[in-house]
Amino acid sequence: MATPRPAHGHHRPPPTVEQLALLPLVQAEWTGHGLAVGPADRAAAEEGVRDVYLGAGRRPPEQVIWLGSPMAGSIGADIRAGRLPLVTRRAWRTLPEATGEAIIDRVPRDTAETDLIMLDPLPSDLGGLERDPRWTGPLGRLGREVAAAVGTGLRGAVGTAVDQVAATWQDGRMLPEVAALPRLGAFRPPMLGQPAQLDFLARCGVLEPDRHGRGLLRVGRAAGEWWPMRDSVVLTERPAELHHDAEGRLHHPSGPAVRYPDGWCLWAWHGVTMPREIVEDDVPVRRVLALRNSEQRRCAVELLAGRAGWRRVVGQAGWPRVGREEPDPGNPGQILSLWCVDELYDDHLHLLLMTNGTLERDGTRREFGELVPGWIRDPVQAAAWQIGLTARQYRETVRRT
Amino acid sequence: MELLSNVRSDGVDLAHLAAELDIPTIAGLQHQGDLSVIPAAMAAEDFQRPADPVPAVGVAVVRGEAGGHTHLLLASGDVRYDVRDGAAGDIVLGSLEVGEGATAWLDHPEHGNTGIAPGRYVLRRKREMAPRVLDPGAQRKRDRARKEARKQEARKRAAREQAAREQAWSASTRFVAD
Repeated sequence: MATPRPAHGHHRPPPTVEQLALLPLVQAEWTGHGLAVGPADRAAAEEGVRDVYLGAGRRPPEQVIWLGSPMAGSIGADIRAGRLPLVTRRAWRTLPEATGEAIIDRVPRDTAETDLIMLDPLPSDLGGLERDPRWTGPLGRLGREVAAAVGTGLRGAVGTAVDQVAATWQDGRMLPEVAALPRLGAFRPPMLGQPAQLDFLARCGVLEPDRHGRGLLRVGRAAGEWWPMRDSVVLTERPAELHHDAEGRLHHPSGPAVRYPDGWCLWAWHGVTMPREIVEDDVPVRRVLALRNSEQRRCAVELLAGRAGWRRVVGQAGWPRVGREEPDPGNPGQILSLWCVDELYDDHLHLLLMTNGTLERDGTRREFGELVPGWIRDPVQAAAWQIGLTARQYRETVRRT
Repeated sequence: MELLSNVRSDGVDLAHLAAELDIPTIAGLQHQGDLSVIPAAMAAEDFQRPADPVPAVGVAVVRGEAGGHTHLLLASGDVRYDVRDGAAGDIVLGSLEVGEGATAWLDHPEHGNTGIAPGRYVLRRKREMAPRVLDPGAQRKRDRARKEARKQEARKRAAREQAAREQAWSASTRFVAD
């Protein structure tokens, strides 16, 4: 006999249509907060911090330290933990000299902090809501989507860049007593989705956020990364400049994709962070191929090919040509050629080089480099493979525009 | 570039306009950028007789996404085109039939216009190989193998250079025989 088991003491009605209509609004708003550009609202953020501490039953921090970028914030938090001797030269070098000096001046080194305080945006007991799939579905999706958008648009790259230059155990060997101190400046586990979820529940009238939660929402709306410690808090500014491609990934073809007010920058090509000189300077192909990270290597070659043309890249890289160069059927005067690019990709692939049939507005012809399987050794066969024909059929092409 | 789609809204007859713009009409295999018009004889397995007539506003055969442009199919006369609802990786876009006395045009802001003569065709787009993405473990293994190969290469070169030096030394040294 199947009797409906009362899952919980009190039941919540499922979300109404009006409540669900709030989801895209909340999602857009919190994605916007995560990717916001421009100076932080310092007063609001500091009030939010007070609420966070008081709501958690703590004394508000004595020292509120504002720094210009997540990198500076991470260094600042490490200095507060007493790890100044272990801040690496790699980390200092990412910042302008004046910024480094300003950090040392601004962050007090009196009493060492020992831990970050816990932030708990969503209470664990939502009155049965957390077990109701009609609520957890939309809530989970909201959290994931905000986290994904902000993660690809900024946080992922920033977090990697900050943690990459952290002191390693090799750095710590010389100073074991400093290395034993907790590393407070680590990029905190992303807490992007929870404020959005909390805000959604609050706007639905389902959950009245407590003081702690209200404080978290306030800081999230007003400032960038922050590191709350027992007696002090490090707050940071938001980027002054932020550039994305059409898919929302960090991207700028000729300058920094993210620039913070204190001069800390990141360079990126379609979401892949790059060394500065590859984006800003005219580097030789060999320098690009020497990049250790295969993803960076690929993107940097694409970047160079877009700038200088595939033919020059292929020529300078010295990759072996496969088969003969063949005239492009239906594209008079143009040739097809095939190149072995095993060095660039971790795969047996060939690169088909072709030229557009139509002249561009500036009178040049656009060159394309496209990847084909490595078993193809004839450029015409490669072009035919792209549209599922045989080489013989492809040679019957009448016109290419 | 003078485009059919720019002037079509005035209600001008497309065939006259195409003649004026000197757009060639082709019955064989032709390509417009990433889009290929393939006579059905070459790709008989993908051709299915289309039923839907092409409307006056045209059909966006390939929609421009992320900075790309739209390939627009325009028609005068009895032209039918069916979109094939295939898988995401399918290179076949649809089947096209241009009736007797009719003409179809493909319109693209960068590649210009091209005409399609009466006949049956399959429209395909270009495919490209995506490089394999290795999982971190395999990547590490490969990097290590590559490093090892580099090291061995350096060792071999050093041995070669050493041998060359020894040879040069033995060639330039003479022992005095007492």
